[in-house]
Amino acid sequence: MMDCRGARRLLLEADLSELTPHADSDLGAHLRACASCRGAADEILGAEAGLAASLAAATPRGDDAVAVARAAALARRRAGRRRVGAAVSLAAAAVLAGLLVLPPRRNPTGVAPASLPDVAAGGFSVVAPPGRTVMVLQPANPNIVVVWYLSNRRSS
Amino acid sequence: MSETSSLEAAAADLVPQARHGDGEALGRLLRRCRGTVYRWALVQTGEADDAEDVTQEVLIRLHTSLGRYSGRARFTTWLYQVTRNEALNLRRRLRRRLRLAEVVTREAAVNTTADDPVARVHAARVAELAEALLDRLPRRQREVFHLADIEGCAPAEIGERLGMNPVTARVHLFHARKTLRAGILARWPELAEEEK
Repeated sequence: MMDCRGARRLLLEADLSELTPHADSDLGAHLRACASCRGAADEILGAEAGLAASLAAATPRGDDAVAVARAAALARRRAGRRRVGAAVSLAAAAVLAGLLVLPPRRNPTGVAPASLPDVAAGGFSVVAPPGRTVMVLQPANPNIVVVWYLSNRRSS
Repeated sequence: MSETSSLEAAAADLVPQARHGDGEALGRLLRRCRGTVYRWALVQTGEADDAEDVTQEVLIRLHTSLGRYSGRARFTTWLYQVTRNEALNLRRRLRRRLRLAEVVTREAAVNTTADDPVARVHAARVAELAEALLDRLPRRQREVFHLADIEGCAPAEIGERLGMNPVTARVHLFHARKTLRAGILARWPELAEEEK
């Protein structure tokens, strides 16, 4: 028959269902015979059950319906922001793409490009790296500034 | 029926409807998930306010990203991973000390009759376990212990949820139980080991 040392070792590791005298196992047989180990098993079962009950009683503040409605509103707002962000990115990309395919001396977009080694625009200055020319574009939207570095080398 | 099983059963009807654009079903699904997600987040973060934040983020994710749930894994498995990711993101942002013990002690106190000495002892025992859960267990062990001994999940399901081998989950569980239970028994001298 299992001794107390072996039982205590198993008490620390076994599944909860095995910590009862009704378990059909060596540990269960020992618990049926040993009040001390049975008390230890009861202590573990009681503490874990108490923890489970306390966690189950923990609930978020406020009403579920209100929280769900708030989450829905936030989800819609974030989706709206993502759409605006995507549209702005698309517009900036379109401006750049237009400039890439047009001759450099023309200015068909109506924006004010500046092609200089160093350019000041929009409240900040842009310094061109060596061998590059910087182009700063200020589209109609004042929140957007497009900075473009051009290589000074010309293809023949 | 465990909390996870109960939610899984409810989700079996609601998720397909919600994914097909039924707003009423989505609302019911979110309301049904909220408490469970909060309790998962509470174990993950250990802090009631943080758990509230995580729950809110998960509800938003459910609202916007339910379409990404492929249906290959169980809904509760997917939802647990979403919750876990949000909790990890929040923890990275905040790095606060866990205060799960305070929350659980408060809940135990609410459920305890102040005049009842047996209930007070019980509440102290629960608080002790919660503190041990908080202070002595690494995050992985805490997660595995919660899923196994509180939620009643099998090692295979724990492995699936946490992305680990079931054998590894079992090892974490043994370590967690040993630490917690040894702590519980050490506090009660009358249960000191007696050789037989």
